[in-house]
Amino acid sequence: MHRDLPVRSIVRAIAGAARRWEHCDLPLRMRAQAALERRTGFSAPVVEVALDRAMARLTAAEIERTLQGDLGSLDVLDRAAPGPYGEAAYAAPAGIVVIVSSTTTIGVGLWPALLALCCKNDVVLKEPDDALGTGFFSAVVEEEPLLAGALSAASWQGGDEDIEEPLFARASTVVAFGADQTLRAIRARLPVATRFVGYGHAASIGIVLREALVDEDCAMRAADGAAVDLSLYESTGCLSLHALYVERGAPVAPERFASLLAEALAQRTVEFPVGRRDLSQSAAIRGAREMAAFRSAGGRGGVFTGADLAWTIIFDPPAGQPPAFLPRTLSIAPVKDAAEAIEYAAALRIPVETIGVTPLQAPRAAALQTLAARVGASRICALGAMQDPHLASHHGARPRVTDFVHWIDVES
Amino acid sequence: MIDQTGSVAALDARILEAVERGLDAAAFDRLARDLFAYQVQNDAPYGRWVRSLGWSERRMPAGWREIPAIPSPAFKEAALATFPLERAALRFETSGTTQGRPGAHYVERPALYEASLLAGFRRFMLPDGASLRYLNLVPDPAEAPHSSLGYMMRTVARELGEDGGFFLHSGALELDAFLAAARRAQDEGSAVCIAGTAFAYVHLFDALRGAGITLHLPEGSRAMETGGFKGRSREVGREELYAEFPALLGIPRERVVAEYGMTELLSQHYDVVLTEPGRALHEGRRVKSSPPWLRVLVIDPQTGHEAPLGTVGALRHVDLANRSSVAAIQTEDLGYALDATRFVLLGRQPGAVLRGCSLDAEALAVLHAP
Repeated sequence: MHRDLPVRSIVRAIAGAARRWEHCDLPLRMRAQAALERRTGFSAPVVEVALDRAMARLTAAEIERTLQGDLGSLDVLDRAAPGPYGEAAYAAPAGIVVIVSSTTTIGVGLWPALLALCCKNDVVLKEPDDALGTGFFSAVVEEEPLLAGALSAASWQGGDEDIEEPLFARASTVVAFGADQTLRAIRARLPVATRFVGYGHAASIGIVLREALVDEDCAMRAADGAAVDLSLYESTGCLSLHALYVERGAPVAPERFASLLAEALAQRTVEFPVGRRDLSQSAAIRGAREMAAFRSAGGRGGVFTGADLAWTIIFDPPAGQPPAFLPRTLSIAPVKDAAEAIEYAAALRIPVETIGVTPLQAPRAAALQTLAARVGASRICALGAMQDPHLASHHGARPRVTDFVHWIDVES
Repeated sequence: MIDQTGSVAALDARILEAVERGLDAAAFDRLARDLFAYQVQNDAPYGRWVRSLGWSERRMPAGWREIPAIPSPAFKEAALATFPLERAALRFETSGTTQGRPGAHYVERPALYEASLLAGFRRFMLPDGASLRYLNLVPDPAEAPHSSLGYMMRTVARELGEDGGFFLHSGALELDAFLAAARRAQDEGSAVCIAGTAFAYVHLFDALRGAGITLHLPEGSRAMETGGFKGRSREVGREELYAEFPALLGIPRERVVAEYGMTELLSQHYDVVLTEPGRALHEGRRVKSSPPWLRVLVIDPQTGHEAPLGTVGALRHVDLANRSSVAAIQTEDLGYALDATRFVLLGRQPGAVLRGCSLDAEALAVLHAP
């Protein structure tokens, strides 16, 4: 019975499975890799990076740090112990945790599922048709057979009442990823007492501060970070770079930065080959390019493009024009300063998840902390690391773990 | 080359003649090239665009297929007109955008537009020469003077039949007034043409079903459906929508014609369901055709070149009636050509599956909806 297992044993099992999954030739991983390539259309190297990154964060230390950060200590998951407020408390399992991961980018439901397992819940993961969860869960159970039965993953058509009604009726917590209307529909079907954690669609932005533009080498490093954030996952993630703001007034001007980014993208496209695209995406990319070229012919803005529609940079787009939300298509707007960048992003009225900044160490980057909430952002990180969050990051601006436990305070 | 003294009138006369009498491939080519030369000279934003692509009066396209097209959103970015805007007789607005700024299509002379829309309508909607009563579920031009669709239907009703009224006001369907007009036509045995957007038909059918009303419009009645493509859901619902016409209006499905037009074009494509009923479908999809002065090119988005017949690509329109703006317009609508004059429109995203937790353009539009 997994509820009798000490939390550290569960953590060890997860970390152990992740270490095995770091090997590309593990049959379970190979099967998942092929299925993910089929489902997402991402190129093999991109899927490989996604799996490597997902596994790399699943170390015992990182999992324990996340649990401890949200709950005060690990011990509270095994017995009454000093909790986040110092008083004795026991973090009992919430019960059954259902994760609806929808057809989202790679493995987004995996982390909450595993953290819910650490809290000794029964976990049901609705996963996309790639069996990543199924495969990884079986590896976890191989590490700790007592976890058998606590974890299950399956794929079904969202909204299937025969499956979902009994599941939602029994669930203590439902975590769902998806479009606003999907989240609304799920929430409406839950009993009042059921906790609901919804992660809606969002976008992420980048800001290049003047300190990153002091010379060409420095600017090239910043450009390379932006190239990584743009290239990985074909702009489909909420952590993908969708719009970039570059400060004016530095030795490397925003337009020059755009051309450096073009160079960086040419390089990164070799490392992360372009994935499958449907015709409508290609038509929209070509349309966006031609529109930018049309503006440029009229003396407004510019456009930088890779061969075969690989990537597109639209420089200085019309004020108020939202991001294109197309694969590897990025708009770069010159701004006076970071505050103006946030104002521009706020005017677009899009929910922002992450703000990538370079250089993150610049004292001025700290000022963004207070500005981030203006656009709803939950994370400020280095450009280049936008799609590689910590396990403990407050995705959706909320703690990762607390919705998976039922607190019992034990007064002395 | 067109000179500047009286040349516009001469060009208009040639286009009008093409609209009235038709023109063969060689004549289309000649007229398209002359129009291109005229537009490069007189439409400043288009001229700049064309020159940036390496074309000029000295390096002319060899044929109409080579004429550079502007992306359709360019109408939102610049005033694309071959004449001073204060001389515009008509100004039509494109649908709103997420930036809330519509584009405008300025028309110098209504005569060309009216000749084109009437000849196209007559050819595809009235091959039997019928004189019909028009019941319009499109914006009333008295209320929405910048709607090209409203203008078109008012012109059609005035010139080709009888105006039976406009029943869409402030975006709302006036069911009682529509029912009164439809029942009057029923009682009088007067065949009607209902013209409406897909969304207006959806509302009408919901209302009719809700009230338990079925109409039996007189024989010879027909319907035109239009409204542009908004994405997957629109395309999926279309055949289901057509299935409602016989049951609720008494109009056979094969007398429902989809028109494919855009504010940016002064000519329209239509289903061939009335003109070539034996060739109305290709693999279950409706076949469209164009009047002789409007042509379609299918562009492979990957290469930017023309796609082979039968291969899906993005549709480019070359409309000779667009004399006072730009003749060649590139869209992101997908389709494929069957031959020189017939094509199939697929819409924006056939089979595309949304994935990812990023926003996309469609979600953004919802987010920005009023």
